[in-house]
Amino acid sequence: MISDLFPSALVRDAARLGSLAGLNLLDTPPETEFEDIVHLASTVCETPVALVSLVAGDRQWFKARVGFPPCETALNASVCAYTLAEPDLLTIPDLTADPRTRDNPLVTGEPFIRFYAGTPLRAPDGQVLGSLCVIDHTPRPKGLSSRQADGLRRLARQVTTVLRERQLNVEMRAARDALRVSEERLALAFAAAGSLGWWDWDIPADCVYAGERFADMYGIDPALAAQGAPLTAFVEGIHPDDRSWVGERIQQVVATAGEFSEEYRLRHADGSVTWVLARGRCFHDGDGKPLRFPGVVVDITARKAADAARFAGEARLKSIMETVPVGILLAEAPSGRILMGNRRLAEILGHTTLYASSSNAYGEFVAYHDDGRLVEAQEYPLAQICGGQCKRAAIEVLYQRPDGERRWIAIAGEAIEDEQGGTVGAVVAVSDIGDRKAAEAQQDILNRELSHRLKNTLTLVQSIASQTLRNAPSLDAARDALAARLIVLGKAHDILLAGRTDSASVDRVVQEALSLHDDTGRRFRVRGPSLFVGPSAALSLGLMLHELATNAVKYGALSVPTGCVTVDWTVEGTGAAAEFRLDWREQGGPPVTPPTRRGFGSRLIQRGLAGGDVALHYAVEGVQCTLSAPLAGLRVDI
Amino acid sequence: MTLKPGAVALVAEDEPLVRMEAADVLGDAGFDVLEASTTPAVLAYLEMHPEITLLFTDVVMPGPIDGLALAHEVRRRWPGVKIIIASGRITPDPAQLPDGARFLEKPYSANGLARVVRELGLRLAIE
Repeated sequence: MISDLFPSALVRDAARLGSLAGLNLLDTPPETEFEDIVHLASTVCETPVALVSLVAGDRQWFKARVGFPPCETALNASVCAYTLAEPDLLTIPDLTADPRTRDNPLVTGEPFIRFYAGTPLRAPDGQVLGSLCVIDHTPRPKGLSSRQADGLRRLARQVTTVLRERQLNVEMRAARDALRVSEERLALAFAAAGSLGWWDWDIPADCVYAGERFADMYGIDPALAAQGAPLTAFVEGIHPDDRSWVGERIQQVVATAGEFSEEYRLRHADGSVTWVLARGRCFHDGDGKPLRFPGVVVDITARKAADAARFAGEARLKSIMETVPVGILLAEAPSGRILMGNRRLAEILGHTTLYASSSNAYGEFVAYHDDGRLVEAQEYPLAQICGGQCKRAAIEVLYQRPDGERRWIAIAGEAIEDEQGGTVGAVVAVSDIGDRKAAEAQQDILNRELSHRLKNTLTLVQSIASQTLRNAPSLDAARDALAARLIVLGKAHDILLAGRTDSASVDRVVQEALSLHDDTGRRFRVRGPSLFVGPSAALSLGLMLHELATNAVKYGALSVPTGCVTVDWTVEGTGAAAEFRLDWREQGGPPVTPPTRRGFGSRLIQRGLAGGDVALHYAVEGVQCTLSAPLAGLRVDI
Repeated sequence: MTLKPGAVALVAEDEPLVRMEAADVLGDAGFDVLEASTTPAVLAYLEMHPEITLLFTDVVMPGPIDGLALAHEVRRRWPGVKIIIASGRITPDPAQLPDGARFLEKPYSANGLARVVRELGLRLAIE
C-alpha cells in the first residue's frame, strides 16, 4: 500500500542526500532565520503547525517547527516525502481520505493530523531537500487560499535564500580561516628566517604595510607599519648615501611594472649601518596604473662583511702575485682549467694568460725539450699535478713565444690540497732561465776547454819527463832537470791563466822563464815590443828559453860572474806576412866550444817555434840563437 | 837524406817538445822520422818523399786546414800512407776518420803509440 505509492527512489537519491549532507543542517540547534519562517508560515496559513522538514534517507528531521513537539519522525510517518516529487505545492485536504496518508501513524494516532500543505524546499544547487509544510488537526476541504499558497511558496524560497547565505558564510569563513593559517605560516616563516622582512606598498594610497621585522629594520614603530605608513617614512631608514639612487630605482620600477632587486645600506638610530637586499615587484592595474609594490628584504650585513674580507684577501694575493719576480699560474684540479696568471708570466711567455679550459688544451703552449721534441700537453707540471700523477713536478723547456723568440723557462709546480689531502688545484712558478742556460753552456765550453788544456799539458809533461829521462846522465840529474822544467811550464801556465784573454805577453813569458837563472838580477837584458802569443807558443818559448839559460848557466855566459845575455824580439812585416823574431846573445862568458853531444835542450831548440826557423850558433864569444816564425802560427789556440 | 824504404814516418805536431818525443818513440820503433809543425809542411814533405809510409798528426795544427782535414787529403792523394791521428781536444767518430786511420787520445804513452803502429801492420826494417 504505502510502499506502492511512497517515492522511495527519490528519498534515497544519492545526489539529493549528498546535497543535504553538504549543507550541514541535520541535527543542528534551532536558528532564528528558520524559526521566523515557520512562525510566518503558521500565521499566514492559519494552521497550528508549521515545519521546515528535511527528508533524510532514513527519517525526516525538522530544522524548525511550530506546534509539533517531536524533532523528527520515521519515514513511514512522513507526508513531506511525497512533496519531494511535487513540482509545486502538495495539498492534502483530508489526510484520512487520501490513500497515501490514511494509514500514517500521525493520522491514525497522536497527534491525529488531518490537513497538510507543503511546498518543496530546494538547496542552492537545486536539489530538493524536504518541504516547508503547514498542518492542521481538522480537514480543510478548500485547502489554502491562493494568497496563503503564494505566501507559503515565497517562504520556501526564503529558506533556499537563507541556505545560500549560510553556505556563502561557511565558505567565507573557511577562506578566512585558510588565509589566517596562511598568514600565520608566513609570519612563522618570516620569524624563522630572522633577518627577513616584508612590505606591501599600496601605491594609489601611498601606504606601505610592513611586517614587524621590516619595521624594525627601517626604524618604524611596528604598530604603525601594520596600519600602513607613507613610503617616505620608510625611506628615512635608508643610508643617506644610498637614499637618492634607491629612490630613483623605486620610481623606475613603479613606472615600468618592473622587478626590484637592490643591495643598499640602512642607517639606524644608534648610528650603526647594516646592509640589506630588497627584492620586490610592482604591479599595475588593467589600465596600466601602478597598484601595488610588495617585496621582501633580507639582512646581508654578514655576507657583505665576508665579501669585503674575501675581496681584501684576493687583493692582497693579487698584489703579491703581481710583484713577485716569477711567473705564476693557477689551475684547478682535476680539470686543469687555468684560473689565473700574473703579469710576470705574460712577460716571460710573451702573451697574456692562456685560460685553457682543461689540461688537454695545454697543447696550445708551444715548447720544446732539450733534444728538440715538442712538449706534450700532459708533460707540463700543471697537467701532471691536476691529473693526480704527483704532488709536485718540474720541467725545463724551450718556450716558443708568439714574437718568435725562444726562451728557456723552468716550470715548477706544487699541488694545492684540501683538508683531506686531495688535490684541488695546482700552482706553478715559471722562471726565465735563459741566463742560467747560457751560463751552463758557457761552463760546458770552459769545462771542455779545461779538459783539453789539461790533456795537452799532460802530454807536454809526459814528453818533458820522457825526454829528460832519456837524456839524463843520472837519476839525480834527471830529477833536478825535470823539476826545473816543470817549474818553467808552471810559470808559463800562470801567465796564461792570469790573462783576461787566452794569450800571454812575450815579455812576461821571457821574464818568468829567465828569472830562475838570474842570480844577480842583472844577468839579462830583455827588450821587445808588447806582443801577445797563444798558449802553445808561450809554453814552447818558455821551455826553449829555459833550456838556453840552463845551458848558459852550465857552460856559457852565466857560468862566470861577468857574463850576461840580451834577449831582443821584434815583429817584421804586417798582416799575414808578419814574422816574429827573437834573438838570444850571450856575452862575457868563457870561449864557447860546440857541444860534442846533442842534449835535450839543443834538440828542443832545433825544432823551433811552430812553422818557423832556428839558427843556433856556438860562436866563440858567446852562444847566439835566433828563433823566427810566422806570427799567425804563434797565435793558434791549440 | 837517405830514408829506409817502407819505414818512413812523418810526425805533424806544432808543439816542439811533444813532436820531439813522438819522433823519438817512432825512431825507437825503427822508423826514419820526418817532422812538420804545420799542415802545408806535411803536404810538402809527402810530395818530396814518396817513401813516407806513416803519417802521425795532431788535430789542431797551424795552417789553412786542421789535422783531420789533412788526414783526409793525405788519404785521397796518397792512399798507401797509414795514418794515426792524435788529439786531446776531440774524440772523433770512426766515421769522421779517413778509411783505415787510427785515433790516439792525448796524452798517450810511448807504448800506446808503438802498439797502434804495430796494429797498423807496418813492417819495420829494424825487425
